[in-house]
Amino acid sequence: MTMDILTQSAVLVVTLLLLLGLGIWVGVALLASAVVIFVMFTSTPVDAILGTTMWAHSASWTLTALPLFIWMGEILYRTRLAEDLFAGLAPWVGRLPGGLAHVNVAGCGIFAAVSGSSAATTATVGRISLPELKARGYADRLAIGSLAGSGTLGLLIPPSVVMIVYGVAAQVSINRLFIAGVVPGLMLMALFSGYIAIWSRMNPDGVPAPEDSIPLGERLRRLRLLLPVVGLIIGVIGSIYAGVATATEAAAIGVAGALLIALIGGTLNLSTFTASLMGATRTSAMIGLILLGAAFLTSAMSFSGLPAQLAEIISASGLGAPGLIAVLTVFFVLLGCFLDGISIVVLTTSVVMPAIAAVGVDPVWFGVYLIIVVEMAQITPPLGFNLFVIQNLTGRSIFEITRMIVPYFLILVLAVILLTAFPGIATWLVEQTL
Amino acid sequence: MVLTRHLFTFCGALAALSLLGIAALILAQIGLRLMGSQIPSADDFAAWGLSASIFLALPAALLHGDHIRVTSLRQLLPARLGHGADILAAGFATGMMAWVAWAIFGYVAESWTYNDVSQGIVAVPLWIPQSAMVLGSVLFALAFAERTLRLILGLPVERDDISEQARGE
Repeated sequence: MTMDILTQSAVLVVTLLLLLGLGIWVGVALLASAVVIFVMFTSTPVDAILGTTMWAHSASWTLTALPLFIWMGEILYRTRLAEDLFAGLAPWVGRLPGGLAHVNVAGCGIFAAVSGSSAATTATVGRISLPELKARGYADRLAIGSLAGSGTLGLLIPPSVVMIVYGVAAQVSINRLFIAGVVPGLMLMALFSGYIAIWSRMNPDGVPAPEDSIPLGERLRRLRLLLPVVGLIIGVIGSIYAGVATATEAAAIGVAGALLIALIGGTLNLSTFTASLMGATRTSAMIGLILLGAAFLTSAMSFSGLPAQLAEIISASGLGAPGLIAVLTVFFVLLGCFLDGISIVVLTTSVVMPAIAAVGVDPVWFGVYLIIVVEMAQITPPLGFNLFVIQNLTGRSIFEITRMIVPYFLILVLAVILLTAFPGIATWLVEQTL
Repeated sequence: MVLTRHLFTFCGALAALSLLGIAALILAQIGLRLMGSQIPSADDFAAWGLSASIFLALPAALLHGDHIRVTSLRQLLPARLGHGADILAAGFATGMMAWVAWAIFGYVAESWTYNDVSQGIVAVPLWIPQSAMVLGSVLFALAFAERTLRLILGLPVERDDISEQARGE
């Protein structure tokens, strides 16, 4: 029994490492690892299972939320939303310690509430805020670091593509996950803004003198620029919270709202429409392939029994929930050095989900925890997508950007510790609403 | 080879239309529900549209370099060895996806033979929506085969742009 699980784990790890290291596409590598497990450790007819799995997991009503939210983000990326966010928010935060650097936090927080992706959030907000901050004389460390940190809110504040992936793969309600992400997201915004304020007090050279105060009337008039995005947030997230819409329906409403914003803003034409639709389709196919590979691996695992045995070993080891979370965090951050967030999530759900359940961890809480850890992976080299996005925006080297990000990475670590010490941060709002 | 590119792009356009159809269907369903009516089996149709959208866009996504792979080790290799690794990876993926296409074909053929129909209000023979999986997976295997061939011949394979890849994250 113990021998068997050792052999099986070794075969799985070696196969995956070998295939991924060779540069095989993640989805293909997952499918191949599943075939190896099926053939070596089960007597199941593997091709029959493949067909069933591909159909059951691709023709999924719950999963339809995924391409729709991606499309919504693609449409909004091509609108004037980022410019409007900057213009509307800037007069309100300009006189705080840290000044316009807070626009990164607030802008990312708001854009995250209409976008499911942290790379898209970083790219959309950074496209406008980085040149503006540079022109006003803000230190690059402050501007780039706060953008990279806040960009990670894209995955935590609903809607969130990675939360949908987790919800579908782990069979956890996506609506519950969406609600659970809100308070941790707001907490992270407060932590980021707090750090910006403290840093600015300690490094006055990095922040220009505050600009002249803008009269209240003008500030309020500028706030109107935020109306479309606030309306969209209410339409999408509001309908989920009120319990009147499933995630898929909220996503369809979001697509319609985003198209309306693009139409009114004058950025909607045949070429932006086609580009957004094609881009969303291809991104969904990319995620779909990984999800299908993971579903097949999960099915192989359920036949071979590895996750169940792993769960027994972990619960017998007396590690307990906090111990397991600590071990997993280190493991995930290491994994994040060479795997993307979605792959980390699907591998987790395939192999360690039963162990999570065995030590009594709430799957909704675990989803929020996993998202924050994935966010940490997004901003750590060598493979951090948000780093690539910022590299494209600024032309700085990955190494320089990484140094600027260190404090914000530590804030994410702090968020994981707080979340583990006070699980209610994630679960309280879920209990209140559903 | 130009022919296959057009084929993959055409298939990608079908996938995009399918996504557009899903959005239209769900919005229509929400509208009708407000008026106290509904489209029969709308959830089923949306789910089938998603399956078609995912599978039909697989080759186009490969062409655009959207599919995620781990390249950190690959970048450490000297150019010639790295090229060899690329050929090996593409060749492996060709074999793997050819088997997947074959297994999916077998599954759908069985669903046709036994005349499986959907469980919803509207009973549709399942091989009809399932055939998009067959088309998509066959073309995906073909796209990998073409990629392998192009790599061996030293021809360009995709538009490389890492920021494009990051969109789903």
